[in-house]
Amino acid sequence: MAIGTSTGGIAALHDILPEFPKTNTYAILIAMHIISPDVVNTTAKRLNELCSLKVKMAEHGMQVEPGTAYFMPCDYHAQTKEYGEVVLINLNKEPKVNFVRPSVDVLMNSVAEVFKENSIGILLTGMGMDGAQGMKAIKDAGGSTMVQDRDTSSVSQMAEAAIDLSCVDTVLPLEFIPKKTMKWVEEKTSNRAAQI
Amino acid sequence: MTKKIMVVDDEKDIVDIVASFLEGEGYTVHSALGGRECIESIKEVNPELLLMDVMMPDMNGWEVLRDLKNMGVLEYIKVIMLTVVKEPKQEYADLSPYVLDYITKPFNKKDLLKRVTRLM
Repeated sequence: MAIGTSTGGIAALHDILPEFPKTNTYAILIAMHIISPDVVNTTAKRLNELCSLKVKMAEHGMQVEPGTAYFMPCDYHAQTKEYGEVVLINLNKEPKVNFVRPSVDVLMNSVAEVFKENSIGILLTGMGMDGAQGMKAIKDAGGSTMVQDRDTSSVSQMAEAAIDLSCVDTVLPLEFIPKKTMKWVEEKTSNRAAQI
Repeated sequence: MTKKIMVVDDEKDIVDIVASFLEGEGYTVHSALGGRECIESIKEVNPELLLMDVMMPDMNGWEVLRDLKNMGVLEYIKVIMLTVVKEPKQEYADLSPYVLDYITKPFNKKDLLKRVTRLM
């Protein structure tokens, strides 16, 4: 699961991340446009104390583990890469995309490629267009996509850019996002089990 | 040492109200009645957080941010924009990593303090 956000994202994540239960069925990868490493590090530490999920900063080569939320570090693009049975986080300094690094598009494109129909893309409050192409990649891969609604967003540009690409399954007020997401997780887990 | 917040707005009444909210929570508040005053005093004040109006007569809040970015100080300051305009223009999308929150006027005390507290 990938979450993208920028302006207003810290407050939004404080509202929803504690609502996600700790299970062994999913991990959350978060790309947030913030220039200050201190702010991202502090946010991850605070949320780790508030959440059932383990919340940590992503590092290059780190294995993606269920029950964990990873914040992508400032000034690096982040991608998921499949190596046999495991998925690792790859950080790089490729040029900025949509003026930003980490780019939500870069992260979501890689999540779509690795997790395909099991991927979930969520865009929260934020400025700019970043994330819309990534959401489309997740949708095209058979995954599920959701954006925060305008009324509960500080800024809804990122969400509306995705809506304009016709790649959004549902638009919800912030407080309803965790419950809907977990419903999708359960459905995808059931589908996988049925296939096995 | 208390944490410093700089409030920038051309309307003194707004500055005074926001300052009283923040001082009540123990923050030290410095004010600037416009964009140029903010730019002139930012290095001396060295705030942890900047609460800035967007629509000001001398220069708008986004122009102020661009100048602060060019001065090399913006990487060290958290920014919340205060505005009557619900959505910023796309031309300011490059400033997205610097603007941690965007509060639409009229705002209430509880919401403002909640958003500030989460960044401090």
